[in-house]
Amino acid sequence: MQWSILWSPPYREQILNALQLTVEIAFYAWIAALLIGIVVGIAREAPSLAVRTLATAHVELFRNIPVLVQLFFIYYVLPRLLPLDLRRALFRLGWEEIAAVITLALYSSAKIAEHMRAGLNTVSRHVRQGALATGLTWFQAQRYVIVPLLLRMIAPSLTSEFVTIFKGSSLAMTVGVMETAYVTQQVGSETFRWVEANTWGTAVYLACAWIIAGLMSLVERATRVPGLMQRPP
Amino acid sequence: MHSRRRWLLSTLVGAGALTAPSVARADDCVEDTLDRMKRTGKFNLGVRDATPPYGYKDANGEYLGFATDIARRVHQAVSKELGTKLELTMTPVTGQTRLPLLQNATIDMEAGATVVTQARTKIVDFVMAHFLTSTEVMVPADSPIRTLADLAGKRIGVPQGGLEEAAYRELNAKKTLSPPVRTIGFPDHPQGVTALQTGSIDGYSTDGPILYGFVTDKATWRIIDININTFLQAFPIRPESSKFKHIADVTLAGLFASGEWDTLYDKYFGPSSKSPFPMTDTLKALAVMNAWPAQ
Repeated sequence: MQWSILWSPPYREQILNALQLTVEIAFYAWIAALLIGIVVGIAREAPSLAVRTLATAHVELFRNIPVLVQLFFIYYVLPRLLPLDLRRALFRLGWEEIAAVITLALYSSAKIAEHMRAGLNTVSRHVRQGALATGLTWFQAQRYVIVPLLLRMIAPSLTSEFVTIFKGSSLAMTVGVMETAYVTQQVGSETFRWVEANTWGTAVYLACAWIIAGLMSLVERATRVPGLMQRPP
Repeated sequence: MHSRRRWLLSTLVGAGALTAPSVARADDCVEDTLDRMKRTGKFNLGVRDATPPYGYKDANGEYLGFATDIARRVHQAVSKELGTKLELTMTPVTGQTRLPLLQNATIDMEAGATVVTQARTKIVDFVMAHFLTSTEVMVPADSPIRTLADLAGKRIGVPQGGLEEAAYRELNAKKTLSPPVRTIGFPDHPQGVTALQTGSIDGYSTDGPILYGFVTDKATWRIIDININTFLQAFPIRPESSKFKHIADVTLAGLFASGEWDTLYDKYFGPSSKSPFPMTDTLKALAVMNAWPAQ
């Protein structure tokens, strides 16, 4: 074992950059997934049939394609729809990372929307009808009453989605993003220190998942809805 | 409180499970590959399935290519030496997997375009070199990239697990390329070439003949030699296999001496082949040096 290989140049810099990239991809994807997921989740219960259909299509499309296949489609195929100049500009921005963020965000948003739908049943019908009865419009009722309750209710599911996104960010290596999984493989194949490199990769994902779970458990505790989580006997 | 204690406990158990068992040692490593083949009756060859002209799969699913064909000769020679027809199994490998699979004895030899490096000889041994090339770059025909200096600030695809990434990193560090070239690693060559076709990278850089193998239309693609290196290519085998290495070396020397190597060269790199690669002086010198006489 020669653990110092991970901390000696040029690998130290690569490993730290990779860690940063892993965190960035997961973080941006998570924010986007949450926003899209909430909107789609609400839209699935919208009064308009067209909106409901669109939302359902979103969920059924992105939830049912393997993440890796989606990533390849978004990375390789989508840009072809654009004219070459626009395409090149997009690639200069770092299309690898953007494609990874979009893919993870779409996939997770579909799952978050599903969690929202499942959670909706836990907000009792009386609350929903009560909200409308006070004169709120359908959208206001969602915005001020139902969604805030709902999000607090499904917080534990959101935690596991966040952890899933984090782990999923490793798929970005397949399109050449130099994040943690990629760099551990590269360090392994350049130094043949496979045990050290792969142990580092494992430790990073494990530690990050634990940190997320730990932070989210604080959020979950702070936002728990008193009385609503327990069913009466 | 209770749940926190349980969480801590499960964490400790998990961490213990990770650290407790030491890595199992592969005892196969000390067995000469020839003895291993005799014992198992198998010749496990690692091949490339998408690295024309060194190793690829044809429409019938048959593995062939310059390196694959040479490896078949080694298989025949070993079978002859052992007096029994060894079963030839072919396992596709990539730049990332070839050496680990060799180390854990999934394959006994890899036939591809693997470059001999100082670092690699620490963990594997190499058969006599079968080829010699250099890193080149494939770009669209209308690309402004013409020389090494033009790569500065560009997005260049490279194969993961190859030597290209480190080579460009060094050029960046030495400020040969400023602003630095940005490398994007792909799992294998087809993905890199696809990215080039999509326009997501400005060029794809790897071993020259591999690039020629992907150029189907000369009006669309151009390949430039950036003159940064010349690499010796050979089949990696497990170390401490002198008996096996001897048979493999002699087989290759025989191909060089008899002119069969030239025949294979013409078949895969000659003017009428799919990926014509002009014979260089260094390659000619290699062929002369490796043509050991039989006596």
